Amino acid sequence: MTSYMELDELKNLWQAEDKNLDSRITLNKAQLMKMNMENATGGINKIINISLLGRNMALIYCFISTGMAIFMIDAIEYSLPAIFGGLAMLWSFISHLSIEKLDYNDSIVQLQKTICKFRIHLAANAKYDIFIVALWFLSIVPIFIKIIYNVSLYNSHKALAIFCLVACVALALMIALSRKAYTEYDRTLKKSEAHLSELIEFETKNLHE
Amino acid sequence: MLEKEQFIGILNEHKRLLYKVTYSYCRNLDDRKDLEQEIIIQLWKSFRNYNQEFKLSTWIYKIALNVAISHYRRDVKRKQTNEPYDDAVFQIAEEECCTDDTINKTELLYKFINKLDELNKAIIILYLEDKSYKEISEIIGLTETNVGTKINRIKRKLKESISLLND
Repeated sequence: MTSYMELDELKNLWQAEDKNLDSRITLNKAQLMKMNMENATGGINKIINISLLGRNMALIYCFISTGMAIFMIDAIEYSLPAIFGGLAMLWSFISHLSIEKLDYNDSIVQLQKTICKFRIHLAANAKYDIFIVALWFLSIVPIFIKIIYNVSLYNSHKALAIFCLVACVALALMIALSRKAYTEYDRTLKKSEAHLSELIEFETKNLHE
Repeated sequence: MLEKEQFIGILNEHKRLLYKVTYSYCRNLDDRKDLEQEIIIQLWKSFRNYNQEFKLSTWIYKIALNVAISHYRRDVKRKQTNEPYDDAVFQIAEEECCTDDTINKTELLYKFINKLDELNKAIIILYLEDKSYKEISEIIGLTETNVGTKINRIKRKLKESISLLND
């Protein structure tokens, strides 16, 4: 049966299947109506949207830090960490500027390359992002405590000790919890790099043969 | 005509194309429903920005194949957490008219397509759809020469598969 089958004959078979399928496939309009297409987001787009939101939030956090630093300008022990926290957030925002929404009008190779590069970028920056958020919290929390509870962490050894202890526990917890995430990010990074190499090889291999 | 009605019309017109893409990339029914849903969502999202320069079928192929490849590449973990919809959008009735030979050949064809990697799978689907090398190169993003070379390679692979089956 199969001895005569070549790709061109398969093409005829494929096209004959078309006619057969035409009468067999029905569009389930009820199901289509049930789908909330306006608010739904497909897999990769969801991750990109979250990343874009995170990137823009970093700029807002930078403004908050700057505002706080200005507010506490006379107390260098508060304003300096806030400036560093703000700069870290600004760096995070700038480093994620390359993230952009996918253009499905791009060719398959181009779009898949963009997805790979996005995944590589995300995985490579994940570790820094976690520490930037931690640094920002540590820089901003003393100011909030000062404003809301009127407690000067840096003037009270006891309060400073408690803050340092809480910060250490929080950091340790964050590192412990993020270890699993790091492994996951590294796995994604390696997979995406391998996929990107495959794509480049797919794109160029025959040109050099 | 309402935008959504127009969109449903387009889906109806290209239901075979969309079914074949999803069937070529996912043999598992739940997974296929999940992919179907993602393709439709992406088509809808891109519908307002549809570039009239492209033929409608070229545009649909680009989106459907891109989503299918990304879906294929995604972690297995996600599949366990993402609940698929209850019913498929493209519902297929049982075969009635076909002979066993045709059914076997069609099954063989899908088996062969299934063996290819996701990018070659896209090329072969477009080739079987009788798209010109120019159109295939535009959708895939390769030169026409490169597309030709890849198709020849797939043909060689098919011959090898067939001779293996005959042995």
